[in-house]
Amino acid sequence: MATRLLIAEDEPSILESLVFILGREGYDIVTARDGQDALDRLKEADAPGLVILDVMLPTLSGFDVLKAVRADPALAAVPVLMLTAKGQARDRQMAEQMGASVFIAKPFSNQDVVRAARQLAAP
Amino acid sequence: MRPPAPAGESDPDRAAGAAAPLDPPGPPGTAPRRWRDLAILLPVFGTLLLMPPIVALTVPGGMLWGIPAIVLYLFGVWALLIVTAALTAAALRSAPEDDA
Amino acid sequence: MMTEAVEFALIAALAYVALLFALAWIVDRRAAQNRMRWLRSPIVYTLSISVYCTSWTFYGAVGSAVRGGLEFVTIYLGPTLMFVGWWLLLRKLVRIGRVYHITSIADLISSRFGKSEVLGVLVTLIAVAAATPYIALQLKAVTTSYQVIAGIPLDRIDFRAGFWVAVGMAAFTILFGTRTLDANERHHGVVAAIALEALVKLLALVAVGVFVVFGLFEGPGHLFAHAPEGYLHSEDVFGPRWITLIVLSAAAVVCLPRQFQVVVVENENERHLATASWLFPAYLFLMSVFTLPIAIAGMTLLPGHGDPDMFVLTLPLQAEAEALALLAFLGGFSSATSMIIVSSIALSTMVSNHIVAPLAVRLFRHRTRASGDVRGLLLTSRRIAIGTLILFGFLYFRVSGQSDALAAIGLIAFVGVAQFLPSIIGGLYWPQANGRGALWGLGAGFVVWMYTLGLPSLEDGGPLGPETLLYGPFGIGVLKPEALLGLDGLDPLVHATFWSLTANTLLFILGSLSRAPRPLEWLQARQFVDVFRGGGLGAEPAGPRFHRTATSEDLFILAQRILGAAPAHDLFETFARRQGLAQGLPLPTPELIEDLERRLAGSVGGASARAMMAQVAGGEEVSIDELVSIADETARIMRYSQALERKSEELETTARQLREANARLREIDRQKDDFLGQVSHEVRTPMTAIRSFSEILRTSDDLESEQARRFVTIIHDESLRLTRLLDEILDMRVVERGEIPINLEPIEPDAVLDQAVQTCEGLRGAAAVRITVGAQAGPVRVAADPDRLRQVFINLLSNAVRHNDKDPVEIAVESRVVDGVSYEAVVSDNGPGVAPPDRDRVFSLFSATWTRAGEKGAGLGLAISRGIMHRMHGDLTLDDSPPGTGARFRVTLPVTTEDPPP
Repeated sequence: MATRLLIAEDEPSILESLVFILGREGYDIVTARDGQDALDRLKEADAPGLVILDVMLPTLSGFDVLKAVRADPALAAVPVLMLTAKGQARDRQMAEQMGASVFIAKPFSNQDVVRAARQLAAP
Repeated sequence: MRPPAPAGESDPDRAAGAAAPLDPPGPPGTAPRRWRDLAILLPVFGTLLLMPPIVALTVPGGMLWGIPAIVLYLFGVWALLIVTAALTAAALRSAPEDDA
Repeated sequence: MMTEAVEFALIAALAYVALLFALAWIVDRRAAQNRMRWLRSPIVYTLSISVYCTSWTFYGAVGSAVRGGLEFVTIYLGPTLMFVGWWLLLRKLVRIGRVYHITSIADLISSRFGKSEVLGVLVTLIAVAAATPYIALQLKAVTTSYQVIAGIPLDRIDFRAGFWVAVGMAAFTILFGTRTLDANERHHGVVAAIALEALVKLLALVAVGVFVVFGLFEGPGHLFAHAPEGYLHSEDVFGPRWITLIVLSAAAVVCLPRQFQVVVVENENERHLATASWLFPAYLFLMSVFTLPIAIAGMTLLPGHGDPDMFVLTLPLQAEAEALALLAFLGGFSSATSMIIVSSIALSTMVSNHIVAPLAVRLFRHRTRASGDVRGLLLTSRRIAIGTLILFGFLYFRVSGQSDALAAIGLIAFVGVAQFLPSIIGGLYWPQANGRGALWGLGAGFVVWMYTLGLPSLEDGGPLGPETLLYGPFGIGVLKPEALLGLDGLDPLVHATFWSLTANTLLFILGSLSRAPRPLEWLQARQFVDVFRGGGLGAEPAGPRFHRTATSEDLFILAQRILGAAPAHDLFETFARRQGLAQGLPLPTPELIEDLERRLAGSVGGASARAMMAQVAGGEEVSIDELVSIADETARIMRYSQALERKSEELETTARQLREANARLREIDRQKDDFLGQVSHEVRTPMTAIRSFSEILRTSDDLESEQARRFVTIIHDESLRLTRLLDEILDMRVVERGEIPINLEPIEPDAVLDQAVQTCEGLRGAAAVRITVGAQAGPVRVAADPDRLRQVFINLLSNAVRHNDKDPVEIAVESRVVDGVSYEAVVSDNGPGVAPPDRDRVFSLFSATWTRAGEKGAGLGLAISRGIMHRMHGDLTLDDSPPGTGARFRVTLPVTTEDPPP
């Protein structure tokens, strides 16, 4: 059974490209358009194998979602890959402190994202 | 306000005279306090000792070396005042600010 | 034997006088060559103060001891207390005297109370009234002692001796005492003579005392054993009279004109006072330590002995110690002559400065420039005054010499001069004390003194007759001179002292409180009371400058006439040099005028100097407020602290402004960071998509062509978005700098609005968009750039669509004319609206934080739109609407009447 993967990204074109490149790897992909949506989806089903979070999300930011994930015992162990368009060192530091597994700045190379995803959770 | 002129300038004659212009005793508060207080209190003590009723206490006091006690008392107090005043004056004169 | 004695005494006295003349002459000569430094020693100063001990004390103390036991000591104890307490009063007096060139006690009181001429005259009159009989007393003592030593019976007074002494002393004083007009300049010859006389009288009295105690008796014990029964064993002596005498003598050692002269006027060095503070009491101690032994010896050895006042002479004569008797005679002679010399100098200064000089000023009022030598006139007047005073003294002696009335005159004079005390103490320590108080107090004290003491001292009550003394004037008992208001049973001296000083002090206080001080009084009061607050002797007295003007020529003429040609020349040359002038007269600066007035005051007294200066320079014009604010130390400090406070307030304001500016800068900096972060984010987002899809296209060979086309389309759209973003940023910069080209022309705004609505109807987000156009303003024209205005409307409409989460999106557009002058268009939506805290920020250039769910773009549109509206003299605002009711943007433009271009 393919590893389930949740992608939270509000930008449709970026979401589309992520779905394409990771879907090609064989992940079972669930998408969310904002933070609240992502959290809901995380809680309504079993824990996914991997979560990809954009930082700048509507309703709840990526950090808020990450905090909730780490606070939930059922989800605490799930690896999280953070994406940000800001790319500032402050964000990277914050993401690492809050328990993000990997932090990748936009614009990213597809190869980097795929490799990181594979390392965190094989498809 | 005009600043005070330098010492001696206001009075050329005096300043140029043979005697150097004198520095006055410092303003109140700069003389050695103990001596200044004594200088102020000395006439008060003197007045107290030389005025009735204290002065009359020794009238019936008999004789000492053949001299009536009242006479010795009066001249004794008088001498005491002179000596104390001499000491006070010396202390106040040699106060540092007097030599400025 | 008798003729021999007469001749011997006469020769001795003449030789002694000749010695005094020679000494004075030599000293004056040598002092001119500056070779008499020792004259400036504190010992000479102290010896000159001992002029206090006149023949009245030299001879009279023994008489007093015979009559009243220890009472005689009070005359020395008062001065002892005053000098031992020099730090309290004398120090201040001497300082004031030196700083303000005080010439006499009359000058002190007159200067302190506003340089009052009237007060100067009054004090002079009291002093003359007290001193003339006192001089008579000295002449009588000399005469009596001469008769005693010459063996002439005392039942008839030989006035010739008194006369010749008077003539001799007048000559001496005129010769050596009026060399200069400046009272502060010492008369060295006189000082030397006085110092010698002080030594002679001390030596004489001590010699007689030692002779009596150890020659006539076998030491003090033996002597006191011979004292009469009960002598010195009465407590009665320590009563009110004891207190009164100590108070009076303490006052006299300052207030007697001759004492003021030697203690204050002739003081050359304030430190000398410190020495005198104990040395003078020591002198007095030595002068009186043998008084009781001489009195007891006289009572024991000279039964039925006649006049106890002459025991000092008669005891040595009785023991046939003629040389000692002669020494004693010379001692008494010294006491009398030194008193006459100094008294007449002091009094003549007062008369010339306070009576003659004011008259001269008035007399020469209209001849200021032409008139002759005022200096000569004043010196002449002093000489005449000396002669006249001594002559009056002699006449007084001649008239009343046979009676005993003179004996009491010493103490009567003490009470008279004690009237100065309230004015002096009040003047030195109470700033509110003013001229009216001094005049009332002195006047009342003078009258009461004359009435209670002067009148009874005259034979048979003088002009009022003996009945007045017994029953009061016109039989009014309460006005009896020696029992005023029924205060009976007191010693006359105590009675007179009590009433005169009570009336004096009371009226002094009441008078001072009854009116505010005049400006000059206030100024003088501050300068006298606060004399120790200034910079000291070298510094000029602090105080305001009067605004006076005079020509240098007038000032120079005035200075020449009073100070003399050479000193005036020197003074003006000094000032000219100080002003940096190579030659000629100095500029008539306020400093020069003030300095000159002080110098004149040293010669003619403060009041006359002021009057003379007023003729040349005009009066001082100064308001009381000015004086109070300038002269009052407290006011000065208050103003200083207020200035400080103001300054610190200013600093605080500046600091606050800086803090605010800093906060604003930080805020702007933060907004800039936010903006850059936002821009970065907005740029990275399309870049991410572009990069990601181009990588997919580059690395994937197995893409379906439809899929590939879609990816390429996305890349194309995202690059367009990137371009748009960069355009917006550039637009914003252009609007910000006012560089955006705007062509104003009269247009109908509704037409532009319609075009914008039509453009936007094609917009579709996730939801359907419905635009309702409501009421329209109609055919009205505004001055605007149609393209830019359309850009603003489209920005508002697209915001309404983009920032909306409703389905369908509803937008209402309407326009109207307000008051005929203003066109208004409102775009409202059914979206979430803008939260109140963000309503200002949405227009801010760097504030691109107004982002919402799904927002695209940098959010710079509103800032650009508002900038455009401002350039077109219109505005773009956001209405305050309740949260949740959507946003309402309002566009306003002024209506124009211009026609559209053809």
